[in-house]
Amino acid sequence: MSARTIGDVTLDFVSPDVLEVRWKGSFGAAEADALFAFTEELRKRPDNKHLFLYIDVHAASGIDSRARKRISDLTKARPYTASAVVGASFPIRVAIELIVNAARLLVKDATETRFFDTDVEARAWFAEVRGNLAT
Amino acid sequence: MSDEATVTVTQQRIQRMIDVLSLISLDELDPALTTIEASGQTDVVAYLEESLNVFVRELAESKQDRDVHIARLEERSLELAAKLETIERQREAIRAMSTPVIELWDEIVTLPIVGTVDTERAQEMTTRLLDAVGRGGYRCVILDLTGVDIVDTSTADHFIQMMRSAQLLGAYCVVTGVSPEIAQTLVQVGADLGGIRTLRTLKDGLKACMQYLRPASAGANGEPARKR
Repeated sequence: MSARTIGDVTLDFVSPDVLEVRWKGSFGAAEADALFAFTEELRKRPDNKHLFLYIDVHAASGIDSRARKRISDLTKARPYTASAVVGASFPIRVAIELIVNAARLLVKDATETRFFDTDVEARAWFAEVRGNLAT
Repeated sequence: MSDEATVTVTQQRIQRMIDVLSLISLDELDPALTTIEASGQTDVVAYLEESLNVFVRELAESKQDRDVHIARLEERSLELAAKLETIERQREAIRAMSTPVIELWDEIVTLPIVGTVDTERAQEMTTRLLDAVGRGGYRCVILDLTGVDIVDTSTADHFIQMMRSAQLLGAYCVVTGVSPEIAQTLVQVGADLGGIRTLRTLKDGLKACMQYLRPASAGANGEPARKR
């Protein structure tokens, strides 16, 4: 599956079970829809039992209300076993935490999301989750 | 309470407010989820909690109003789309009725013209006429202007072009119903009717066409009879 760019957001399937999202600028409804569509395609693949979402937000500047709603739907649907957000500024972290928190209130077992400063920490966490799933 | 006073508040109460704000961020305004129950306290945080309750309630009412308006707008938009579709269908029907090509007799068609003829209508009529002559095999065309009151330069030009196009396909063309006013206009605009017969009535036009189509052996007065 090849990389897809919508606005300033790039979606790429970098390893067999990790979808990497490079989010620059503002995340709008079009970007959220693309993420949703890409995820739906991944879900249809029989070989991916556990999927991980890696979101690089170093260059993110904001997220609009429609995108928040769409991402909440995605979080509630739980297509990803875990999602890691890397490089979030404080405002972006608050915006994402609001979404994740609301999804958790509405659906008890929403996707677990964690924030990391570095790529290494995020991938280490994915490895740990994979390990836990294997045991 | 002085501005410097310190307020002690439990993590649980702060988290409850964050939860409400989280739900608001997703437009989830259900009072069952977003109302912070009164704690019985009257500290500054209780003021904050109650203020938040008021704003969420008002936001929910505002959202409900907005949703109603959007629903109405969508309904009107659908009604409008349906009306436009009806108008388009009627326009199509009117267009078909305003450019009739009527089979008058074997191999003879007539185009009764009523009202004004603009470029679009003239093109539509020409297309239908040429289709009738080309594919329908009609050999005589009568352009009947009985229903036309006024002819301007442009309309006259359209008629001439229509007849010329039919002639190119080998059709015998007759113009009928030419009133004195129309005749005067045609002369004034310098319309070249060479090769196109003009007659007073549709009946005269039909006679002329039948004569044209009559086998050579049966040829009579006036227009020479043609072989088919």
